[in-house]
Amino acid sequence: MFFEIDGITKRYGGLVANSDVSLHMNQHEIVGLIGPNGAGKSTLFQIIDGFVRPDSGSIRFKGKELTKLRTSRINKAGIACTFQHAQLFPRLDVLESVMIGAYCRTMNKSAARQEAEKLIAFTGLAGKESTLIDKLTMFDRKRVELTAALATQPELLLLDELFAGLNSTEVSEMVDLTLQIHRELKTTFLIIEHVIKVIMSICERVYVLDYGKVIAECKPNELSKNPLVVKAYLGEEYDAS
Amino acid sequence: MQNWITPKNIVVCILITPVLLIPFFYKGGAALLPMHLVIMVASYIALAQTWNILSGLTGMFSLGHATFYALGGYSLAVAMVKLGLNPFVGLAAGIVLSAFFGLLLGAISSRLTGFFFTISTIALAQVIRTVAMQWTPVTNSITGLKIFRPIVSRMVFFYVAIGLAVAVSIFFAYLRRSRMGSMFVAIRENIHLARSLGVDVVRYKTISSIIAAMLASVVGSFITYYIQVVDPNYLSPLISEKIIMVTIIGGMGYAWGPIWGSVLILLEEFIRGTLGARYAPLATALYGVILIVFMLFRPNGIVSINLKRSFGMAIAALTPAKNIEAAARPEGK
Repeated sequence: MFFEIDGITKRYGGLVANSDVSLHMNQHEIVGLIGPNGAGKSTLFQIIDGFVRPDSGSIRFKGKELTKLRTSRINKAGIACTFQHAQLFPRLDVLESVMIGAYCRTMNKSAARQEAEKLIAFTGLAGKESTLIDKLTMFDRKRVELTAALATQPELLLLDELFAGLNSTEVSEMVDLTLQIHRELKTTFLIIEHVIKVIMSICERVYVLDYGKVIAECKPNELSKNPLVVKAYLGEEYDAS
Repeated sequence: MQNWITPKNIVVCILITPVLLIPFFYKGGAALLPMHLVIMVASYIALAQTWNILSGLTGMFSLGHATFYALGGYSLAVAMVKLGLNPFVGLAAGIVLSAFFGLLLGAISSRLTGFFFTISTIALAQVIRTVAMQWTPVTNSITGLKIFRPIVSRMVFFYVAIGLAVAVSIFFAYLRRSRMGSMFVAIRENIHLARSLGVDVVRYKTISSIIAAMLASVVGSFITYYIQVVDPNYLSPLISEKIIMVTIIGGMGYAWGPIWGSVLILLEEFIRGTLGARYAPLATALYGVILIVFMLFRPNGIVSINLKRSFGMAIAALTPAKNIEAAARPEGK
């Protein structure tokens, strides 16, 4: 199995953020992770990234156990992520931000620079290399975050609401970019998303989380037919009708 | 991430050149005071630059950087006075000792971040100060250690001090552009993102702390050899605070920052010269005022002042009202 999460549980005091969550992914798949606010999606991402330690359960990536590893080691193993609230280096320029990602794989400055310039052109940020992050629009910031993550040459990329806060043109551009990365760099994606258009257009499978539990696993177009999913999003009354 | 040879750098180098010739401008003893001032300013540049590595680049805000400065000073003095060794043995011992405490500080920083780290640096400086006060057989307590050394021409100290400041500054600029420098600023700017991009945060924080400690110790040894005395005042918060002030006013995280800022040290001497020694502490108050003004209007320090734009605004202020907007607008907009 390429990537496997097995029985992850995380409690914060009396609140159970993740309860026995299991999911698996094949190489080169795009999988969605959806659920109402507070369902535990971001917590699960933080656990995968190593920012948060789970109470129990295990995560295996290409046969390697990740649960005990530090975040920087998890990145070296081949998993990168973007954050729910775009995380950037505010006072650095675009080129150096991406180079910091590239340095994960090389000790050589010119090699890192070359790799960064290539990726910056790939994600459509060419010409903005020396712009400070502070001066960028939301859309560009998200692309920089994505580019820096790509520079670490991940095999699995976790996107936490990458599409949130973008207008519809930008969403389509970002969807195209994601699909292009998927096609050309052979990256596997796990995506948390609220924009349903995105889920429908790029995900092959979707896991639905509610109150920390996986309540459904299906194809995106089957979502609306699943009574548990409808109940989780809209409440009891709709379930009855 | 720019080229080394910029017009600004060239102009500044030309402006600095006359300073190098100071020993030849004056006849006889008249050069001693200006040379002393340059030695002190250059030493402050070197010392502030090492703090700039730790706090400006890596974002580990230390209020106890004098610790390493004093370790260098005491190592040199103890080696020479108590053990009768070569000063270079003392210098080396100071570097090793500081590296150890730098490692300790790095280890602390993996657990304590932000304010908690800052407080622990104050604590470290106070612990070392207590040792310096109480370990009388070695440190002579409050009296300190007086070094006897062969007479060396002040001109030698003059050029060594400038060489030290230039070397540490070039090292800083080189570091900033290197892979390691990028790792340092990544930690400063966003520690979570740095981690998720594969930066081994604890490792680079420790490296930064060790480098800064070792270099600060060299400066401490040099100063002690020059002024021939070391006492617990080396560990006074005033020294840590002064290097912090000059770096912040100059521009934290920039190679030019401590260089511009350290010129302020002359302010104290200027006041001492014009108003008399009684008023010298007034300089500290003035540093404070300057610091506040910079925090309000130019938080990134002197290096962030754009001369072209500032002149534009100055001209605008002097021209009739209707032209103000046009003159104040940056070029090309």
